Amino acid sequence: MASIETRSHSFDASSILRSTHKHDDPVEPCLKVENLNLYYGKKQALHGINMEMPKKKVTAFIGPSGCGKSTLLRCINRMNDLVDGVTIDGKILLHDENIFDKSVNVAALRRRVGMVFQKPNPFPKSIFENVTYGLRIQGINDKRILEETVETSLRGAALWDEVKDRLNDNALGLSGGQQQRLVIARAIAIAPEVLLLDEPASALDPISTLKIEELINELKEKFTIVIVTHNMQQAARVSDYTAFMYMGELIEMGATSQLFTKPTKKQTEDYITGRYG
Amino acid sequence: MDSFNTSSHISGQFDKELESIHTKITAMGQLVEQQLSLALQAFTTGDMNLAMQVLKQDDVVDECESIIDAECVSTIARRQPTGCDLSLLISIIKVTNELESIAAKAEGIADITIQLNQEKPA
Amino acid sequence: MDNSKIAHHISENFNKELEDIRNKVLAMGGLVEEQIDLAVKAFIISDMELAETVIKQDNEVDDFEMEIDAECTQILALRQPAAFDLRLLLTVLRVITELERIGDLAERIAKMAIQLSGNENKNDQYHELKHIAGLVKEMLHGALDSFARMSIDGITDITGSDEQVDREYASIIRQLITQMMEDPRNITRTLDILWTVRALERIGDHSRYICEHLIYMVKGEDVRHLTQAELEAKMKG
Repeated sequence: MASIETRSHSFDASSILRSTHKHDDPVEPCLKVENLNLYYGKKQALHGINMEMPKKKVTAFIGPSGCGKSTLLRCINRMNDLVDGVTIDGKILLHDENIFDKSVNVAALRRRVGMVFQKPNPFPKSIFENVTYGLRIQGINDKRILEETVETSLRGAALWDEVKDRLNDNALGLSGGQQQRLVIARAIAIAPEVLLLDEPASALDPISTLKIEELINELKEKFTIVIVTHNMQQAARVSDYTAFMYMGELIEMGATSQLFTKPTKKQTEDYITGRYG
Repeated sequence: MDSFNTSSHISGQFDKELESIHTKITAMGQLVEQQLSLALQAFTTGDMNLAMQVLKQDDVVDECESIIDAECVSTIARRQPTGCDLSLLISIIKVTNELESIAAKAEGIADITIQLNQEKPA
Repeated sequence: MDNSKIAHHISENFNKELEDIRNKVLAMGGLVEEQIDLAVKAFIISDMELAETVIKQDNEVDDFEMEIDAECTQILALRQPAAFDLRLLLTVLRVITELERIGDLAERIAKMAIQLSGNENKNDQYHELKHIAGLVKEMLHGALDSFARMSIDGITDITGSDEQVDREYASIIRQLITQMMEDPRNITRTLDILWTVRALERIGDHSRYICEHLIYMVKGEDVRHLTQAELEAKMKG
């Protein structure tokens, strides 16, 4: 019989396997929604929403048009205050502080909770001016601070290498994907804690979309991210947690890989597998 | 390793997931190779301790299979890979199954070793 | 047939694709069942022609496997399914691998039959072999039936039969070893029976694996490597 080669007996595959249960880590909530109801006049658009959005994770809201996902997102920085006839009850806690409290300064809240919209909306100014806009409003004019912020924000938005030689060019000359990353740079320049992304890639081509998704993955090192998307696959790719909403209600929320392979509610299953409700 | 191309997707996260699966299946392969060597050695030398070690480690092989499968399924569900990425993930699910079958055979050899030893007249 | 689990997609084509895959898996399963049947018969009555049929059928089984495999991969790439649909397709990939292996085992039994033909037969030896063959065929049939219904009601009864198969296998082996010691002239023949019983026992294992895959498909839980008692507890809970 041929001699048998024996490898080291101490080989241990189990240690490698145990290194990867990411979602078992304890998560600290950044935002808590408690019994949130929202009415447009007499019509109720959100029904008793309760959820937690973990710190430095990406939470995605999915659901069919009109399910309330954007409405809920807009509550988080009180954008709905601007809409006529909206009444809200319930709470949204940002680190245990209810953002609807009378004592809360809405402008200060929006500095802590930045927002990026579906259509890139840079100002018709230079790239530099776009990124420093928020700082200047706060009265920061120190050239050194502004320049540093422009570089770190553009790097943070994965745009620096593409625009560093033309910071004084008009932002409207950038491509759609670059404009969207510029808007993200503008949002992170004021160092918020939370970034709300409302369909951030739906107006972009597939490659720009993938770049934005990759950026989201990098941004969660520093920020808590909440994203609304009508593109289920995008939610599957970018988020750590997914909330499925339907007719103004939160149907199910869970770790993204669990929700997409083994949802617990039939309505979720029907939606993500593309079935009649 | 040209054929196991886990890098250069636009999504770096996807690269990381494939790399993690790659590391694990390599580890599982080595473990199964070791199981087979140990089982044969136990059988040819009549070493009961080695045979017991093979039986004990079979749980680790089973666990490898379950964990790698779950990662592949999760990656398919979340990344919706196509082309060679999809083929790769499906192949890995099949390979873990084959590796598990090989390990089960090694376990069988270890079982036989123990039986033979117990039947030996004292 | 109950289509509630695979129908009702907004995409009518997707419904058809899934239905088509299910029908092919069931056709493949039916073919493999026939292979076991014929192989065991060929072995017992030493029928060369039957044995040749089984061997030929194996090519058909392999074709089924490759065709279904390609269709599943295509649907995974084009439809990007999630949840039950995704688990269904991954389960089909696993089930056809098990069926292909069962087909190989039936082919092995058929080859044994050819090797043995011409030897004188003692039909009385085959009582136990027939019994264990009946048990594993029932297991496979039950597993395929579960797949057809897309339901795992009563599936632990099928996996439970595997324990009975294992017990009967062990008892037949003991009996055959005794025979070999008592009548060394028949060792070759007895060894062939032993390998055939061994192949049948393996068919029982693969039928059990199919059941485990179906539990994953329906419940999303990996139940491989559990004991029968653990599995029963899990299915109740």
